[in-house]
Amino acid sequence: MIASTTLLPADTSIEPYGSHMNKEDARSETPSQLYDIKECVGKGSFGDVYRAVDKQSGNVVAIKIINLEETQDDIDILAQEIYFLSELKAPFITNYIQTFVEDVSMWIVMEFCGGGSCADLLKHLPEHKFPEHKVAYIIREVLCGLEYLHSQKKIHRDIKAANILVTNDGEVKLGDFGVSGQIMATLKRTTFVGTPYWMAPEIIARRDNGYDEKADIWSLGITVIELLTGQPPYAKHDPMKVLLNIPLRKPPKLQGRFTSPARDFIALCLTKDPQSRPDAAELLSHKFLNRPTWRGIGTLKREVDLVKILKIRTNYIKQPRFLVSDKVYATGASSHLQSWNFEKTQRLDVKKHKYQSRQQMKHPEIKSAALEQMSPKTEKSPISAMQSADINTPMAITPMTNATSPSLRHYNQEKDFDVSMGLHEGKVAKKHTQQIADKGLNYYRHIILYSFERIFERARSEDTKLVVNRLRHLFEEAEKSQPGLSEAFVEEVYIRMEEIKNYIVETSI
Amino acid sequence: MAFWWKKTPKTASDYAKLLSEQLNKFENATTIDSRRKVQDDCSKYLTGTKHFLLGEVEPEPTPEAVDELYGAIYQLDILRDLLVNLPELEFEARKDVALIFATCLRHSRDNKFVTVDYLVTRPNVVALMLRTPELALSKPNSSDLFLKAGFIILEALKYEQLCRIMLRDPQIWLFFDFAKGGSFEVSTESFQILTNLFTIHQKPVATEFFSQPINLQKFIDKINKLMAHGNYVTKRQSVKLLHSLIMIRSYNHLLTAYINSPDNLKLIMILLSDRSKNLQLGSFNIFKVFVANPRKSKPILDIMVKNRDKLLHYLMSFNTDSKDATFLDEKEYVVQEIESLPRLVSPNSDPSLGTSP
Repeated sequence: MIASTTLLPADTSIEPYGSHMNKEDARSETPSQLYDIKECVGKGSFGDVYRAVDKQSGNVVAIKIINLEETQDDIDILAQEIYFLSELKAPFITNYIQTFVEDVSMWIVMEFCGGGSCADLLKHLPEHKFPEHKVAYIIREVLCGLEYLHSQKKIHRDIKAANILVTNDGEVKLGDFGVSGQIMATLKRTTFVGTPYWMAPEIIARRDNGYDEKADIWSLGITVIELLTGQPPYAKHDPMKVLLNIPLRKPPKLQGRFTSPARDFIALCLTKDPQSRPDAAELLSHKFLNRPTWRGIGTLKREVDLVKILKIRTNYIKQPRFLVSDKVYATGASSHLQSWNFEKTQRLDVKKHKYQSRQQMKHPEIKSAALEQMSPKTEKSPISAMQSADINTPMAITPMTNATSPSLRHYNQEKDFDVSMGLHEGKVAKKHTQQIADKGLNYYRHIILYSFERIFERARSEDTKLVVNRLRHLFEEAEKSQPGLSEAFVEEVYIRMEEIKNYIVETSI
Repeated sequence: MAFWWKKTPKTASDYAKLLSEQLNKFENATTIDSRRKVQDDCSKYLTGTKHFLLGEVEPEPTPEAVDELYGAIYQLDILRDLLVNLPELEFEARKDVALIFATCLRHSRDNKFVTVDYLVTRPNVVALMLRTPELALSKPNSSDLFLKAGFIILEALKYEQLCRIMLRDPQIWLFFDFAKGGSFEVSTESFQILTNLFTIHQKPVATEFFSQPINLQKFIDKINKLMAHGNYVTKRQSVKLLHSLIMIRSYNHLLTAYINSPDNLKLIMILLSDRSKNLQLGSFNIFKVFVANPRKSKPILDIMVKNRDKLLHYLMSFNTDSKDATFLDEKEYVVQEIESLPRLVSPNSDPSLGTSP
């Protein structure tokens, strides 16, 4: 039995990652290696939703990408949302698959609904509204989802047409809970992009979360109006004004020519007192959803197919708010904005080693920082920042590089921190060029060629790549005919960079 | 509640007996079919027990009946069996287990937490609690299992006696590793456990945990590794955890040890210059403590002096669009402190460079 093995005294040496962690490790591959991101299918204030394909299984999924640098919300809150999602499994909701971290973003992988949201359909259907029997179908499915959710003592908090999703086959699923809903409901942000038209009065009146699952029922009532008329009530009014007015005014009513079961259903949902508002189970037996002639009509397949054709015809594309390719830790750039001088004190006074005496270095105390920056991946290289090639100003703030050059890595084994972290300890100071050469550093191969390869990778157009390649060949030839030329070149570039940097540091203070 | 019982429980303790019987069948359920059957039965009895404990059955159980059930749960070692068999149970049943644990822990009579007192006499169950997340990682659906097992620990950490037992268990160090190496759920849940372990009951943490130099050093090593090597989320979470701990007054052992090591200062300075704004701000909150320390050690001073100009230059453009008054005050203070450091004059500096670039 498992217990017998686990109750051993635990003070024996703790091996952090036993063999059992391998599976987790495999899963911590970067999501972009596991999924092919396709087009953007939705956007929210905190992230965009993409269609994506699981490279291994070929399954289509939806991935919500939330830029964590942009949200000031605690990661803890977002984690709670993920736990919330992971506790739900039902056919009436878009099921959660898993979450990754890539760069500064969270990738939340969910079941994909190819038909888009009901708000999408409203927008593209020629009539911009649904007939009553279709609305009855949608609402019945949503209520099944809510019944499940509420039985788990959970609240959706953001019921509206945009969060009712439709599969390729026209089936309805409740989606987008938690992650965006919770953040929106807290009203903390100044960039309040969501609209409060669907909010229950008790949510607005009592901000300390003093509401329960009945709040979803109110929002459902507003959603019925939205589906039948194309808009929630007061949609033309200023959202903040509407927000303040919801608790004060009488509940909105359905305007126009509709059947009395529809009106009655809405009126029940929009009961101001949450206590006397009916729950999901009660509403499921309401006449509006159960008219004999409407039974069996189901699914929005026709609407989904129609809208797909219309979208293709109008060449409709959603533009994401954030680009997936925009990374904070872009490859090729330093992961830090400033490099520090962590050289050991005694080193300050040693000026006798070959390199310095030969080259008459001006500022020995900056040397180690400079050496850290030997691999010439300047952030403002002429390739990726061709337009802003103002050589003088960027230097002051740019530490330019980080010693991630693979050939230099093995010099930093003594301490546990990564080289890429920039922690170099005093030993960087020992990295005199002579030592480097002793350890087999080849200036041409490890610095020049390496740099050209990086520049080649960063080059955006084929033309640039061609030029870079030509230049590399020229260098190769030059080094062959004049061995040592690379070394001289690197030294000169390095010395010059130091001079410029020191100049800027001095003059800018 | 509509669920049927194979054997109808006649008394309250029957719930526990039937559940215990089923849980112990997993051991011998070797075929897929027999396992499925045990799973199904466990799910039923778990739901039944949960509803009984929560008083959600008709007629509502008397306090005596509820006490009888708790008594049977303790006597039959059900909590241990639930932990051992958690990975065997199905999705909804695991949620019930988590809820049953939370309900049991909350259970009190005569101002005493009965289950907590019981667990204090059964330290092996508490030890098992701490080991269940680790076991979960070797199972399918590891993230979900880990969350359930973690939830049970989080519930237990609400009670000081249980927190103290856990603080003495070396198993807690593993959660630093889980925080770094696991899936998003595993990582964030581990942080939650560490945060609650070290922040809810501050007295035992201060007097029994951080008072020991060996714990102090190990803690600093572990949290540094997370801040240095973790992914973006891990770095942010660990910076935040460290900051919240060194701000707790009674943890002055930790604060002093942390801000006197030059290696720690280096790490924090590197994070200060990270490309992520959130990490910059998080580490600034720790950096300022190094700066504010009136008795800086020589190695700390050396680093600051050597980087005086760089720091001033960097801080000049640091988070300039912030309107947070506290932050602005603190930044001004930090800048003043650094400005008052002696300026390192380089003997060889060449004035001709001034006109150069």
